[in-house]
Amino acid sequence: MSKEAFITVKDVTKVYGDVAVVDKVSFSINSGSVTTILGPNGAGKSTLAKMMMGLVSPTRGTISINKKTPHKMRTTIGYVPQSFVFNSKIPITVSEFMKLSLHIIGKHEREKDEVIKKRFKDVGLTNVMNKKLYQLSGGQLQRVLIARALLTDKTLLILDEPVAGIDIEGRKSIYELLKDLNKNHNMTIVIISHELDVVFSYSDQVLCINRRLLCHGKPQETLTEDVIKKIYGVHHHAHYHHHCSNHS
Amino acid sequence: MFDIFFLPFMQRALIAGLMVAILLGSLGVFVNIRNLSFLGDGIAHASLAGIALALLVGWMPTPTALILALFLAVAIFALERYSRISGDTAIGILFTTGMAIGIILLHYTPGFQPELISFLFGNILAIQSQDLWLTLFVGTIILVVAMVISKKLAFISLDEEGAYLSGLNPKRYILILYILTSLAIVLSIKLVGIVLVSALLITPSAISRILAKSFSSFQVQSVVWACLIVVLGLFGSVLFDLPSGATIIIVGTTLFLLSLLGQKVRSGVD
Repeated sequence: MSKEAFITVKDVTKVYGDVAVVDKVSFSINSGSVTTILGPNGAGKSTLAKMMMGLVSPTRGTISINKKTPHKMRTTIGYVPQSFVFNSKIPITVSEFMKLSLHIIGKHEREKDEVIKKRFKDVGLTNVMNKKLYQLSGGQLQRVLIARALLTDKTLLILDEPVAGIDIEGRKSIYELLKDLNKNHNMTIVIISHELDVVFSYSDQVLCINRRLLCHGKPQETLTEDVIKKIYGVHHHAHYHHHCSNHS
Repeated sequence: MFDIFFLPFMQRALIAGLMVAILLGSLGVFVNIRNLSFLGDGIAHASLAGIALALLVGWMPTPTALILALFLAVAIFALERYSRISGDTAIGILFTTGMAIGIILLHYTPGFQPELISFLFGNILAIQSQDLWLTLFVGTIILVVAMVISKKLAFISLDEEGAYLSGLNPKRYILILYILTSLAIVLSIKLVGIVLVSALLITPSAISRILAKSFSSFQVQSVVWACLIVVLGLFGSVLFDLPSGATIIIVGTTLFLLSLLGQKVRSGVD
């Protein structure tokens, strides 16, 4: 794995109204690493991710990706949103939805179909091409979004709660896919997740956020019982012990 | 009975009607997806200011209203994006202000203005050769631009974040959509009237949304339904000696209700 800083976040603050939803956060992410961002609901994780993609501008501070602004690097970023809000009764098929982003880079129809089929196979989706987008289950839609994020060549993949609504087997296969993309294609991956198992099993580093940066480092060294308590309170205590007993 | 379609005024009305039907049918899809129905109403009503100004000083009403619509589209976009007010509020403010200015200007316009009634309620007899050529010229430009950016507009309308990350500039395309829609609305005013024109933007895409099985079908059907509504409306208007705008809208609403009924029957069968 390369050790150069790929993403640099420096003193970043985002203020909405009078509230700093992200407050003076600084960290760096290495190229080719898998990073999990942990934090309770409303901790500013999604806002931070959106700032890293240029979708939201920081109120203060700077973010660079490969020494360029997120805006300039945006086409190299694949993104799976936490929830995909769309006008739910629009009659668009899954195939048409997938082809929208391929149309921008001007691929031929046959190429488009091949790429889509390959990505659907990767995420375990079959027989959905002609379904309407609103006919998909939550889990199927999530897989479609993951497949779409991987349609074109990306160097950075940001996934916001990517496996919400997907069963345990499906989750495992998606995380294995991410692991493969990271190892074999040197893709830098940032996952926003509540699952501690994901942090320990798949991540090189963890960032704990609750508006401010609470911890940053290798999961085994960083995620002490006290830190987890600080992030989540006692609720995740048992989960942590359960996890430690499985991994020790 | 069909002889009437060979009369020059009817041919002008049909050609202009089909052009605005194609424009509003194709743009209506994006208006529908982005929940911008109020935009058509707002632009149409606010354009009264341009028409009233033209009537007062003796300019051509439609070109004056087109220029005003261009500014209104930019103003709505800027207020929506760069102020704390919502798009609906921005449209509401400009809509009522435009009407108020129009009413004040008309107050200073001497004598009865028969042309004003045509603009308010639509009149196929009011479509002169110069209106037809203006409609065809501006309409062709709108249509070409809309076709070129159609896929990008679809992407942005369905997933603005995804489109941004694909390298598009959503703000730019949304502004273009507002401008194209505003110009198309003004071109349609003489046929359907300020009061009713937004229905021709909304109804065909609403019917299409109910019946279409894919996005491409949604787009094609919206144009087909708009053309059908205009042709049947014009035909009904002449046949029953009714105002063209109102007849077109009643035809549209009837087809909308029938499509709703058809959908209920179909889902019952399924």
